[in-house]
Amino acid sequence: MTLSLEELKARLEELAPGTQANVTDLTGTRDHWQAVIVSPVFEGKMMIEQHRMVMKLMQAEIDSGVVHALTIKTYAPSKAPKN
Amino acid sequence: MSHPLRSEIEKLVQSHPVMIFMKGTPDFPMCGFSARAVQVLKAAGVKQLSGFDVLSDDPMWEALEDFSQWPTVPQIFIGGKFVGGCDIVSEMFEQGELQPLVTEALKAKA
Repeated sequence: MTLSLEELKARLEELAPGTQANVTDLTGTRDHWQAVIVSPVFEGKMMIEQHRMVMKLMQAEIDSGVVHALTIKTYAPSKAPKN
Repeated sequence: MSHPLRSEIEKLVQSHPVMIFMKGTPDFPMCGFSARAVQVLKAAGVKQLSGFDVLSDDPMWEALEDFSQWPTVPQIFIGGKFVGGCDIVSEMFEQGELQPLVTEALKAKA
């Protein structure tokens, strides 16, 4: 079983209200993902804490192999790159 | 129950301002991620990087994962605190967040 891009995006955005996830399927095989996540809950936190929050949210999917590899970039809204 | 080698890890991270647990050594990294982490730390101003080679010590490797609750190596500690692995340290460097941490840790030890 794998997640669709939309499902993964929605899952990541459950982190907290106002969270925005931009998800890329790196291999086209729905198992190696990259996600850029901007969330107000990251404000004032060390990057390691931000990553831990996301990995904890996704723990079950990662442990079960539904998500095989997830590379993340996390930003507080005040530090998010503009594009 | 805490891991029996926990105090060894604690000692290492407290006595070195910048400490990396890696595969290989800072001079001879045995893995691309470890090599990149070493490069980034040097670029951030670390002149004397203290490294511990987990490949040479399985029990310490296990203890490390238990200590930091982080599943992969390399692991970088600055000023006694776990900062992250290769990706996080690289990203922090790009965002200019790593250099001040390093400077502060080196100053505190001087």
